[in-house]
Order: sequence, then structure tokens, then C-alpha cells
Amino acid sequence: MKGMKGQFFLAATFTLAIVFFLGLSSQISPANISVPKTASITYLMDNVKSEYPRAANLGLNESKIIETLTNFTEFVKEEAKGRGISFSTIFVLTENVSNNLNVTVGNFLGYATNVSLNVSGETKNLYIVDTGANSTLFSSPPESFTLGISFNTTEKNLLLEKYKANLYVILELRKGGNIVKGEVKS
Amino acid sequence: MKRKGFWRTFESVLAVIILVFFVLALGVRYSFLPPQMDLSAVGYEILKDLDNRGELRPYVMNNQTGVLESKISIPGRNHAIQICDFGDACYGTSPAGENVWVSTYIIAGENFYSPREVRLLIW
Repeated sequence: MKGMKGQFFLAATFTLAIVFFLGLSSQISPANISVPKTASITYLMDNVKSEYPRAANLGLNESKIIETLTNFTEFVKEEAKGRGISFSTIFVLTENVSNNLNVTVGNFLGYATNVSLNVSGETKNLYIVDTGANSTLFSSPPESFTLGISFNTTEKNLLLEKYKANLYVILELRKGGNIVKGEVKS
Repeated sequence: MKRKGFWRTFESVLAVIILVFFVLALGVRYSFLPPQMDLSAVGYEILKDLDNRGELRPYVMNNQTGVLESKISIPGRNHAIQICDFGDACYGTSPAGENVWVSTYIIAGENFYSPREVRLLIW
């Protein structure tokens, strides 16, 4: 043992090197791995909020607004899913039809739901399957009317004009524990 | 003639060399990445700004990725544009680079409804 001091240095070096290596391995990720980083759900929410009215206008021009809104919602849902984001929404559209008011609700909450609609005092209930839409007609509401929307724990009252197509959208984006909510009124 | 002092010194130097070799080897394989700015946010703002100036939709609807790429300049970075439709058919090239930031921008259409997703890839 007396003449082996150098070997102790060598053994200590190997031990230190192994400990150092194991420590670093658990702390540092390799730099060579390509990790695509996606935009956060905040940007997606900002994007979707500005794009829903455009989709509605394009659908209105093509006289297939419900079909367009449904398709656009499915498109956003698919794109969000590709980024690991869960997208759920419900949209309400009002249109004047021969002086009456047609109200359509599109449900993309991920489950069937009942929606209660109140147009200036008159209440109607709609059952909407998931990824579906349902409509109801309100007779001769005033030119300016209030629309009450109620489903689950959500309640909303809007003051709208009859002779204009109105769109109201409630949006929710979820990624892990992060949830961003928003709404669109146009 | 015994040269104990020489061999001990030699072994110590050898130990130091081995230790330095390990540290350098790890340095090549691993690196402490410096904090990077959120390029996905930068990319989104670039696409949004192009859209606000009316310089996004016409090119997206015609799948003109090259024109869009020429309108974007990010100092010190490379970038590419991909345009994907509902069927996930994409135009444009994927970068071969590492640590690629992806910013996306959804559009419903321009003169008619035709949803697309624009991807700005920065690396």
C-alpha cells in the first residue's frame, strides 16, 4: 500500500468521472435532439378569435354558413389536436328569416348538451349532439332583441340586431393544465 | 535506481489527463443551452403582421411558399414556410436543422372558404 499513492489518484479520478457523468446525464438534455416547439395556446386563441368572423362571412357569402362554421371548427380542432391541444367550442348564430329569427347552435364541447335560448322573453330548449348543430325559430322578435344563452354552468346575455347575422362563439383551449378561454361576438 | 517520485508524479498527471478528457468529452456531447427567446411568438407575430398588411392570404391560397419565405427575414436564423390544408396535404419543405421552432397561423380563406394552416419554421 505504501507505494500505491498514484493508483489511488487514478481510482479516485475514475470514480469522480463516473459520478460526474451520471450527475450530468440526469441534469442535462442532449443538444443534438431536434425538439419542435409549438406556439402556445395563447397564440392559437388569438388566431382563432380573429378567424371565426371571417369564416362566418365567407360562409354567409356562399350561403352555407352553418356548414362552413362546422367545417372550420373541425379544422381548428384537428390542427389543435396535432399540437396536443384540446379545442372545444359552442357557437350560436342568429339570422333573420322572413321577419322571424332563426337561431342555430353548434356544439363541439365533446358531449351532447341542452342549450336554453331566450329571445326577448321567449324561451326554447335545444338538444344538440356532439359535433352537431340544431336550430329553432323565434317568431317576430323586436328589431333589437336580447338573446339569453344558458348551458351547463354558462350563462350569457347579448343585445343583438335582428336584421343582421350575429355570431357568438365560446372557445376553450386546453393543453395539460393550461386552459385558455375566449369568446367571439360579431 | 528507484524513481518513486517520478512515477507518482506521472500517475497523478495521468489522472488529471483522464479527468480533463472526461470533462471535454461530456462538453462535446452535452451542452448547457443558453436561454433562448421564444421564437414561436416571434413567428406568430410575423405571420399576423403579414396578414394585417394583406400579404399572407393571397399567397397562402395559391400555395406560394417561396413568395412568403422571401417576405420574411429573421436575422441570424433560417426559416421555411409550409402550407397545409384540411386533408393535411402540405406544400413547402421541412428543414433539416435542429431545434426547429414552429409557429402556426390558421386562415379560413380569402375570397372563398378554404381553410389552411400556415407554418413558419425557424431554426
